[in-house]
Amino acid sequence: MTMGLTVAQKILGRVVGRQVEPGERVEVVPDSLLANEMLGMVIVPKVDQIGAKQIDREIARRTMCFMDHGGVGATPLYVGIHQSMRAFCQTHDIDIEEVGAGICHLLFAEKGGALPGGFVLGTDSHTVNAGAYNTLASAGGASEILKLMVTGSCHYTVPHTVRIELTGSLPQWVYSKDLILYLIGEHRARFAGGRAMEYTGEGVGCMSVTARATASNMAVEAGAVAGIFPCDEILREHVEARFPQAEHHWEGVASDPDATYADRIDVDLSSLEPIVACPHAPENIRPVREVDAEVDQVFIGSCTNAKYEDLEIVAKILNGRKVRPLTIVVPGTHGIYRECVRNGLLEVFLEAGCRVMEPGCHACFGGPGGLLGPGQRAASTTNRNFIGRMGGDTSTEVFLMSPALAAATAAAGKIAHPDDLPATKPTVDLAARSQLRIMEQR
Amino acid sequence: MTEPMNEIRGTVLAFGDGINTDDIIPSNYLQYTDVSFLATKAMEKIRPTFYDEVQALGGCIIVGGTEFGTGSSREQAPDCLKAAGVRAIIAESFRPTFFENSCNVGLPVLVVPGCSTWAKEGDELIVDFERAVARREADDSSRPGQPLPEHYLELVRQGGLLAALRDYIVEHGMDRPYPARGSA
Repeated sequence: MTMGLTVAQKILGRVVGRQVEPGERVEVVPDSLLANEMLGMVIVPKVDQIGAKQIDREIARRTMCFMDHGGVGATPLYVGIHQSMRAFCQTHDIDIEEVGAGICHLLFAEKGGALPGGFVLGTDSHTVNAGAYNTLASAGGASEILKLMVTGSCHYTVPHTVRIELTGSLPQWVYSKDLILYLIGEHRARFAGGRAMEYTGEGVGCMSVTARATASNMAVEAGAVAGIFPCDEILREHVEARFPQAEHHWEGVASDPDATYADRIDVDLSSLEPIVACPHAPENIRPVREVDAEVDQVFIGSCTNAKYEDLEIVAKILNGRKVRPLTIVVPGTHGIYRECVRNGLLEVFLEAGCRVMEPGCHACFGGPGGLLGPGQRAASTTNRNFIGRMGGDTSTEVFLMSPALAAATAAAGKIAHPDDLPATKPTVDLAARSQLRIMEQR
Repeated sequence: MTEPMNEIRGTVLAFGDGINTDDIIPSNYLQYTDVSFLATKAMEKIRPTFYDEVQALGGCIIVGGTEFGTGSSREQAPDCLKAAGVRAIIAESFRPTFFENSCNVGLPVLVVPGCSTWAKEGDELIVDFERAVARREADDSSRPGQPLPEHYLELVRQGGLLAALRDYIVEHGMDRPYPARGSA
């Protein structure tokens, strides 16, 4: 009797060329490799240390490199890291995006790095973001990726999978960010030891592909090694519209009905509410209305929540309102930034008094731009609120939340639910702007 | 080249549950590529005296709680601990990426269930990675650990992955530049 297989087993089975079992450590060659500043910070120095002048040609061809963590000429040290990355990519003929082009995970998806059924490795823990595209996507440590670059393969442990069965649909003001914060807060222990999340069920259909990416992105904060979504009609249309001639246009992969799961979690999406993760860990979740806290800064950005639809939600809430604390908006990629300009979102942000910074990670991971100081408190759409993560020290507090809550918080000056804001009249006609765009495109 | 690791000795510096990689090496220092500098900043935000303590002890063994090394996949975390003089880490559990990164940089790690209540700050421990056991001579007590899979053990005996990769590139002629374009 053969047992059914999970998505992770099927994808790795194709990669390895035989059936694989959870817990097995297998030799793999990923379909694509995502690299960011970790290349310049750790891998290039180690390449020099071992005296390698060449790397594996096939891996070089499959690699996309991004410079998102260090800012645009922000510090002398990051300038040096970026120089070494450009030189390395030129020597080894690796595709590289310039600084300011965008956050690696969002740009990687925009460029077709994540396609259904694919196997992706990356040098950054949020590589799991690509799971929304029905890929098995995980982070590797720098030396493991170095081994991949030098020898053309590396090792990967076939994960056990936790099935997350979604029913119902998300209520107003509740988003995929609330779903993943809920899973982190309530079920974190069930993902320990390197399990993969596999989202399934009719509830998946209420989320766009980029909304799903938020729930994949923070799988890592739940302790999971991947956060995989199924390949449904929504994903198929998304991929076909963007990459009709994709080189690796894999068929979507679905689990067998009798696949063996390590665990199962049932979530009725309609029962979720807007959630805030309190300092200093993403699992410290509370319903937003139970949190009473004034903030010094609001940060709207990151690979988790700086997609166009995230910023659209923010613009709808801030339209006709003024922000009270310092509010920073970071469009995730150059392309998203341009859409914000074309469709009037940027006008809303500027009229509301937001500071708009160039695409990149910025303070999300403690990089240049938007850092906090001791005693400061921030609301943030990012993914981690560890001590000092966004600057400051043990007295600095970061509350994680959805873009909608962050926008409401910016308008109220304290952590707020959008329904609790006083009514206002929009000043920018966003609907007319996007209508105009549609007419222009015809 | 390879050395058995049956007697790693050191004084315990104890940490709690969920020590994340931002605790181990704060992100603002990631732009520094000099590992010996990063070592001086290890644990700065949660234990500012850490580096000086390890220097005064001439090395140490870290005892951690659950999910040691959670958070980002940064290899600078085990790299800087090793450079600071940490000889080994035992914990209730590790984040898988941190565990693998540690083995890859040659920092021995062992899951020892119950270690966070058994071992105390300042204890002198002997960790035998070959037999997967942690021992305290003072009261002749010990705690069994989860044996390291052979491939990890071999990596740690070699002092990390780089030695093997150095051999690989020499064997495959990858220590020479690419042939000039157009030449066969």
